[in-house]
Amino acid sequence: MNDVLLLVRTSLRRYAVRRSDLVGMRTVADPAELQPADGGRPLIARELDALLEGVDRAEQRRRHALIVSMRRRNVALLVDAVEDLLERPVVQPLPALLRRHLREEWATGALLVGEEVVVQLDLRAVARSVLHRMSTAARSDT
Amino acid sequence: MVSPDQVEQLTALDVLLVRLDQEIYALPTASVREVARHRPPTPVPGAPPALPGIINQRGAILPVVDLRLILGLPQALPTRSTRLVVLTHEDVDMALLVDAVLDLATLPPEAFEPAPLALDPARARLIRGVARQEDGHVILLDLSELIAALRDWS
Repeated sequence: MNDVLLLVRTSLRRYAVRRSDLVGMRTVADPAELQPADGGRPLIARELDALLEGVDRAEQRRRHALIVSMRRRNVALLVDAVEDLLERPVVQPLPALLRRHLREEWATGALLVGEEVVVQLDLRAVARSVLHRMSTAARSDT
Repeated sequence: MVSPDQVEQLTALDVLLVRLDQEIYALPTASVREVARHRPPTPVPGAPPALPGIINQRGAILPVVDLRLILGLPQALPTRSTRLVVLTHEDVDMALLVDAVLDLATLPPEAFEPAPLALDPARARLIRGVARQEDGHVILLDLSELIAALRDWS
């Protein structure tokens, strides 16, 4: 059975994400608001479009945080908006010719929203990459 | 690269002539499903430049292949003449990005020559033969090799 998808918007385009990948969503004026009170699970915040499209967001506005729970910490992926909820999405797999060449396994399928082709993301895979990059960077600093 | 023997095995072919940069390429019409006007594909995060995204073609999600980049030609911005040639070959569906679609033609077998020996081997692999014409050459693409190259390509 297809999972419920959220349609989210970054500065450049829309993506579909599985609601079941998230432990929560929050609207924040400043990503610093996401840091937990003392004793809470550490949280790493990243702009989703910086990860996906290399967009440098100098200007921060009101953000929506999609929170993914990983083993030791939470990862908040920030987007411009959560636009819609799709209850019975028809997701097509990505063409095999394309899938085999993806640098990261973040995109898992595609669906039509009206006439628009929207890529479905695996946010747990994105969050894993965020943590992996952090640990790689930390190792290279020592 | 084709040998002279392989060239001799070619029979007359119905082809769609397309332009890439200053060169004319031929695609067997047996594999061409339709020609569509260019519209920007939806990029897929992490995909290489030669696979700039996916499109919806009559309900099917197809990968777009930038044929210029596969053939080692410089990348170009789309223009009014840019087209997407939708193909099905060996159970693979894709949309080839070309600079322009020129014409339909039938290429007689006697027109074919092997690809020039001086060609880069990676490019020569994709060429089934070269057909002489009054106003130049037409390069016949080998779609099976194109698909194999896309699968192998890293």
